[in-house]
Amino acid sequence: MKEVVRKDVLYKVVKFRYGLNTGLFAWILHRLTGLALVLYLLLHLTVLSSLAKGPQSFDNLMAKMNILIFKILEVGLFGVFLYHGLNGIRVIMSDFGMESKYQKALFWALFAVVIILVAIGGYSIIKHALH
Amino acid sequence: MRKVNSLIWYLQRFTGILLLIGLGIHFWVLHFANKTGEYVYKDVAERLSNPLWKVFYIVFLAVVIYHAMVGLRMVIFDFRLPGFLRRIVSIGLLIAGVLLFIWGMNSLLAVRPL
Repeated sequence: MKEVVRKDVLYKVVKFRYGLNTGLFAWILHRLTGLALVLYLLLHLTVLSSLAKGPQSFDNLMAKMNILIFKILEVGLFGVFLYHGLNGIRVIMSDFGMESKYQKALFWALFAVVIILVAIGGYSIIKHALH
Repeated sequence: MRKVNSLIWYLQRFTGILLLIGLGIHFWVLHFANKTGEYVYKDVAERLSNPLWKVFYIVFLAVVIYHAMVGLRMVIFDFRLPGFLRRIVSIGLLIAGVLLFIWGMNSLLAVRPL
């Protein structure tokens, strides 16, 4: 395991005051998307608990959620998941010393991939609510 | 403790890769291969009647909760906390993770074929 200097929140905040660089931006976004995904996990488990109340209860709840606003939120969730997952791979590569030279380029490339996949996947998610 | 933290660190990376694959499959099945765009009990029951899908979702549940709880721990530990608070946070998240897993399993195992 590579020896890393521990960078706490105070360090990041001070660094932030001197300008938002790509690495810091990626770190903040990774933390925010992670927290959003944990929050979503709790909501998801709450919704899925209706499965234990029987088919009618689950189907009624799902029917209420089959509207455009929830589909848009699902597209957002898809984007959050994609960013967190792909940036996570970049972090793993960095942890094992694999991409220090191309870190910046790799970050913006993955950002572009997220946008393209959200555009393609987003339409597929939303189309049912549009027709 | 150092060895445990090292194991947690490696497992967080490993579960992250598993989740990228697992969530990819989950999204594909529910959102992209779903022709109607609706989520109904019948489809969930049909999928879970296959033991492979059942095992997939049980493992998926465990992996996602592990990754989420360790992730939260990392965010909280970014704020320099004294040792005793770090232990309280770790134990609290461990208990929360076990309870979330039981809650999820309760929903998962309650599904019966129609």
